[in-house]
Amino acid sequence: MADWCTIESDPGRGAAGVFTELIQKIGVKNIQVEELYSLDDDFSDMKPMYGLIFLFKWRPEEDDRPVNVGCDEELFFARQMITNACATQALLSILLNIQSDEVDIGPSLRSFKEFVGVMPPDMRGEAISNLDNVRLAHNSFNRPEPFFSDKKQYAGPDDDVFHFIAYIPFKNKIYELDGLKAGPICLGEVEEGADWIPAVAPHIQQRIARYAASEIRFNLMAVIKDQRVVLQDKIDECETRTQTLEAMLDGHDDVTADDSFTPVPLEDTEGFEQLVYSNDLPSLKTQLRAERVRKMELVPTLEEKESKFAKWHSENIRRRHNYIPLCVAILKTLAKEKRLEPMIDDARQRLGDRARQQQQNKDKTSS
Amino acid sequence: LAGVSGAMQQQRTPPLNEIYRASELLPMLEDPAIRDELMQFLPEDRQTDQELRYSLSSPQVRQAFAMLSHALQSDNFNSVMTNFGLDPMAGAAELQRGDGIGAFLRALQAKADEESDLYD
Repeated sequence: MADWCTIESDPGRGAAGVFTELIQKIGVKNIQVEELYSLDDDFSDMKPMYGLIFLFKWRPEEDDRPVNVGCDEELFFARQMITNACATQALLSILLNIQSDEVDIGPSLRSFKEFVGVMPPDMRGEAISNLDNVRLAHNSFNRPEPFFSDKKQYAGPDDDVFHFIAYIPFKNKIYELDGLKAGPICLGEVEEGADWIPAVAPHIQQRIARYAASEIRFNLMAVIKDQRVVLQDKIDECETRTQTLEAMLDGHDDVTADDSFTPVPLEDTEGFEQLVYSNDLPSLKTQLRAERVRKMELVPTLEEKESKFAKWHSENIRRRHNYIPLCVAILKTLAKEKRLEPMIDDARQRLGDRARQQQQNKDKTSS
Repeated sequence: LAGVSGAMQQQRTPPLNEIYRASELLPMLEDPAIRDELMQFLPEDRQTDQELRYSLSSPQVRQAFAMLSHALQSDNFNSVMTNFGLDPMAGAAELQRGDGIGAFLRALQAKADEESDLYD
């Protein structure tokens, strides 16, 4: 079986940026991953949220919660059969269970979903290993290991092993999908059309509290609609409204805005239509003012997002690059400029001073 | 090394990440030849002045210096030397003491001197 490398999974090291590019490489459109710092925040900006990924340093744990084997044939659940692929597996668990027509998971995931449709979870897990483009995308995030020995790298008892589990809403139920379990775990129900985050939050918070108490590193990421697309859509909507309002108010410079009128929010398409039909000029003027302010706020937010994605992209490029040849070139430059030897002496001096200082401190505390 | 007392010479050379200081290199970047030389080792579509200045003190470079130090003190010593076209004979004395980093730097200095003579 072809190998899957370990990719960036250490909590807090730009994992969101890695996963976002990974998703794009697999051919999924308009989806990104964002890191969450707490579940208490207001996530209205991040809607729709398709799933959550909880990543933590794995340790053996008892868990007697019942798993729902064969609970719903349409729910995609796969046993983790490939070492190192759990990050990608958690992502697939979310992507393949998105119910929204808005999301295009791309041709390769679409045919994969059809292919594994009737398979049991362990065979689905095996099938992931044959997803060549996913494996290639996954492996392209390999950290460069310039001095790889022939020995295979397996995690020893002291190595950090990170595990990823996914939380998703699916047909009015919430599930925990953990590839190390025999099946999905149903955590509860949500009403049709209701926000699923408040329902899942206590389950995740429990886990966070448990891991925080035993100082286990973890982090939480949300799979959401690409925020740049969301913001661009809002800006476009804002502009369309502005044009409509400007046209209606053309030649009515003398109209004063009605300050008692509360502007229609951007999401309320129907409300805006009604306002337009009412042809109430003072209200329209208030609305126009509000749209202009809104756009002034949205544009810099979009710019912030764009630069965040650009930064992620740079980080990913750097992450994949082998910097050893640069290091050797640096040392050679220093050697040519006759700076290498004095620097070696300086380092010796510093290390010597540091060792003496440590010895003195030791002597002080022991006397 | 020249000018270092006998007792000091017996010590192992410190790891490269302890030796390297970006502040030593930054003034040298005024020289366009040095800049061009180093820039070719940056990621392909990131070969700019700005990226070079960033990289010199980046976590990636610090990490690479640590990895290289580690490799030089392991079975990988010979493959590193071959990889970068360095003559292990130049640092034979250091190598005999088990000072892989010292041997590597000695060989690197020898190669640098040789190249400088060539261009002078």
